[in-house]
Order: sequence, then C-alpha cells, then structure tokens
Amino acid sequence: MNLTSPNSKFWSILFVLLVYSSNCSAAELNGEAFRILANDVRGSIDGGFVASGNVELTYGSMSFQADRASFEVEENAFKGIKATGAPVRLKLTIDDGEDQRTIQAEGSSVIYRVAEDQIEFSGNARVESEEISITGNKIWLDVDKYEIEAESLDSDNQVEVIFRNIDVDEKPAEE
Amino acid sequence: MKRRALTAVVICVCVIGCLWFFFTRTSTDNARPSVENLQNEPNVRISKVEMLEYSDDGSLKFRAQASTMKHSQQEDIVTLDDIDLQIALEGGQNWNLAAPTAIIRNAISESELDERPRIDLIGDVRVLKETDQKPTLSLMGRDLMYYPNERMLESQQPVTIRNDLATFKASAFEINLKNNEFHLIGTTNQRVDIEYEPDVAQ
Repeated sequence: MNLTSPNSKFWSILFVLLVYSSNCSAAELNGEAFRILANDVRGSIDGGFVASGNVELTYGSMSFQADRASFEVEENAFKGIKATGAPVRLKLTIDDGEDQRTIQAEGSSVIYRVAEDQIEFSGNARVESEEISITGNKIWLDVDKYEIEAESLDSDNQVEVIFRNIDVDEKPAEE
Repeated sequence: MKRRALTAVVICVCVIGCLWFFFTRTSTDNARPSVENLQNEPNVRISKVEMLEYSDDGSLKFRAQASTMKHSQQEDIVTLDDIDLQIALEGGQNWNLAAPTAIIRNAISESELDERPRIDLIGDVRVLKETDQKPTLSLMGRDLMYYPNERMLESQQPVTIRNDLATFKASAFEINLKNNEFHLIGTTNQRVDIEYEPDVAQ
C-alpha cells in the first residue's frame, strides 16, 4: 500500500489555516514507542502488521481508537499508519511550553505519515480544538507546523469552519 | 459353649487374615509384571540423543538433541526430554526451539492418520530465530505445537515475542516459520499488547 501525498483532483474549496504560530516547539513524536492494543494482529516478523478489533494506539502525545490499523513498513523503514473505523477518533495534545492544547479529530479513514508528521482524515472528517471546529470531506493536520488544510469534494458539501472564543481587538485600526 | 464358638471364629478370622496378607504381599513382590503393566512402560529408552538431517547440498537441515528418548508401545508415543531443535530454512534462517519435554504421537487409529504430524513442546518453551547467524527474534511461551510439514508453530497459551523493533504479547498465536507471517490472538480481557519502536522513514 502506498501512502501518496494529498492530491486535489476534484472541485474543491481549499481552506488553509495557521492554527498556531510556526515557531511553536515541534511535537516530539519521532523516537518514541507506539503502544498498541487490539483483539487480533496479523503481520510479518520482518515487516508491517495489521491490528484489528477495538484498536487503541498511543504515540507520544497522540492517541487514537480505530476498528483496524495497518502499520506500513517498506525496506525496514516505518512509513506510517492507515486506520479505518466508524469513525477513527484521534486526540492530540500539543504543548508549546506555555499552553497545552488538545485537538480532537475523527474520520472514517485516517492516514498518518510519520516522516511528514502529517495526518489525513477523510470521510466525514472533523477537527476540533477549543478555538476552532472544521468539517469537510478531507482534512490534513500537519503536526510539525500545526497547520490544518481542509477540502470539500463537491459543492453540496462545503468545508465548514466555526471559530470559538476568539479575542477581538476592539482598538480602531491606526491609519 | 457360645464363648468357645466365638473364640474359635475370632481365631479363624485372624488366621485367614494373616494368611491373606502374607500371600497377597509375597505374590505382589515376587510376581513377574503382567503384559498389561508393561505396555504402559517405555519399550525403548535411549540417552543423549542427536538426530541430524542433511539437505541435498550437504548442509544441515534439521538437528534434534535430547537428554533421553523414550517410546511407549501402548500409545505409540515418543517422548524426548530436554529437547533442542534446530531447523535451517532457506535464506540463512535458523530457528531454534528448546523445551523441557517434546512428545511425538504416531497415528494409532484410522481417524488419527488424517491428522497433521505434530510435535508437542511441553512446559516453558524458548524459540530463537537467527538470520545470517544474528539473533533476530525471541519467543517465550508454554505448551507449543510444531507442525513440521507446514513449518507452523502455534499455541493457545500466553506468549511474548520480541524482535529489534517490537515486543508483542498475546493470549494465543500462530507463526509460519517459512514465510515469517504471524497471527496474534487476544481475548476480551487480555488484548494483544504491542510496544513498537520502529525506524522512522525520513
């Protein structure tokens, strides 16, 4: 199975949002161990494996629940995870040194690309934090840069963004 | 009159009891074992066993070492104590299976003829996989079954498997030694538990 980059082939509404400033400390996911619990696991000793049935995964500050999760290994290098569920639920805690923020997300399919630190949600995808809620056909969450990108695949199902708890600067703009 | 009769009866009972005890004891001690009794005993017993099998190219294909080998005639069972099996497969893969006891059952009825040949590894079993003479996997479990024709190893008992990247704990498992595919099974109370620390692709 290949983990391809997001490709906008469809008419789409693209929404790019910088959720947090890019100088936040990166989530230190690499180098940590995954902990996986599942009812059944099939795989290869020298390669990847597929966990199914009530799958729970924790990896650093990230945790998710899924019905099935496939751990992709190519040439002895870990590439990422493909998970499906009804839905797959993910919780990510980001600690930037000052604040601790929690992002909750879900989708019927989730792909985590380890090298890019990017998570792709598709199928009734939703990403939520205290400040914002985004729904769309596809949502990409860049864990390293804290960027969210959302896409709708048809005009009937547009990307919806709801801002919450936004501080409004009431000072008049200086001219 | 009655007292005499009673005394006579008591003496008779004592004498008969003594005779019965004497005869049963001496006959047990001195009698030769019956054929039925012998059938439960091994009819073959060999110490310090080493079995070797070679491939067509002369390389070692299979080696089994055991401290003793016994054959039970009645059930046609071969029991090997302190068994150490070494199985060499293609690609420089070596599997080493060690157990306190191994039991090989030969078919003694027609229904058993259809069953797959199997070696039961009883007690705490240790399995090591070596690739190009480097240990690449270890497995600790209890009461494993090895199917030599299929190169399958399985157990319905808890198992811990470790390789360079992960530790797997499961309630039951199957491993195909030939193609290295595994199936780990959990229970409702004890799911398969994996700690996985992979090399991350950059």
